[in-house]
Amino acid sequence: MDDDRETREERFTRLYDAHYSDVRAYAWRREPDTADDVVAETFTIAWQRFDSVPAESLPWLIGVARNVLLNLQRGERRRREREMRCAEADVAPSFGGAVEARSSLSVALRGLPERDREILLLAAWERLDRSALAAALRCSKATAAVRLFRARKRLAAALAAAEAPTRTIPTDSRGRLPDEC
Amino acid sequence: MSADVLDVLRAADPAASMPQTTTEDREQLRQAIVASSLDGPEPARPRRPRRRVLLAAIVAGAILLLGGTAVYAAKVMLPPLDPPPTPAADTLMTARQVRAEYRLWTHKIELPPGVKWRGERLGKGGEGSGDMYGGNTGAMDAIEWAMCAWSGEWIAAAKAQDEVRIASAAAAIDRLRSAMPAWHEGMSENQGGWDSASLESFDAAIADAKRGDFGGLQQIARWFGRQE
Repeated sequence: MDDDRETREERFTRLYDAHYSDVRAYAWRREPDTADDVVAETFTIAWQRFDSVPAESLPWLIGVARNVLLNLQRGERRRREREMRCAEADVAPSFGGAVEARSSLSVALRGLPERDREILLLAAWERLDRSALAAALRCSKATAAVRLFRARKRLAAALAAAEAPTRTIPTDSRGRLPDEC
Repeated sequence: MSADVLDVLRAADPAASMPQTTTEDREQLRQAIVASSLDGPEPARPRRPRRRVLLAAIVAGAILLLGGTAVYAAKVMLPPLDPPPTPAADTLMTARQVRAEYRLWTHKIELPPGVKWRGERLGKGGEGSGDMYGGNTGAMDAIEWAMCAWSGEWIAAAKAQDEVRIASAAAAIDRLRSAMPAWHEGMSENQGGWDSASLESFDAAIADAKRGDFGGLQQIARWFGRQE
């Protein structure tokens, strides 16, 4: 029994050492204030459910971290007890300084549905491939592939719209419109 | 040619400025975790039928006793609403068709008291604009607005502990959910519908709301209520 426990602890420590930074980066990118709480809870769940952790463990851990984060956010929302209004909702997530600094990217991301944002950021920042995306999002590989494809198209379109230069109407040297006399 | 969007996102990765934790902090956390119980969280307790029976009795009693409940009772008893038929793969709708479909669905769906249909957001380009839309665009827009409105009604009713309104909102949401067209992999983008992951998240949110957790329903209201 002690041997079992020791083996489990050693295996867990390997998992912890291998993915601590990845899980913390995932949480920090989305909510820096709670990142360490998310890490602690995610690895506690991994320890308690170690037999359920698949060999390809990072997508599984990110899936757990995602749920932990969502639960924390739900709890926070409940505490705030905001009056829900259909049209005016606090839907402005933070994407961290680097994204905020690029306002067009920030605007484009904010305009996407949450499920598009999530799969794009998992693919870009966590560098998950399609099979890992499917494991993290608990969906089939085909669904993940389709969702990523559609999300990329939507972000590209949103970026193009956000970065389009403001159209100026050409005027002559006296400020007159071309056809204006 | 523009850069791939994933490369654009990677260039803006906020983790580049993430403060590192010390080795000691990391080790302390590891030790705390492995010292914790291996039993894991307690499994969720099965729902007790008695509680459901009691809730049903309260709802039924409230419907019978409260004045002005005929409208609510009628809504609770409305039959399921079928989803629109799956459009052909090459379906493209003109602005006029989208507006007509939206108006048709506003007649099929009830909104909570005091809530009005939002203006037709889509298909405003007019016939001359050349704008084209995928199938079910108008139906889905109407369903989204109604989902938002009824989600808000359900949350407000729960806050007010008004069991009659809760039952009415829950029935309306179930009816809307039954009307949501599904989009499956392999279908074309023009065969409008919600993919399975989205439908599963709606189902989970509705199930959570029936247990008194409205986090998912609030999220739905935000998605669908956003003015674009």
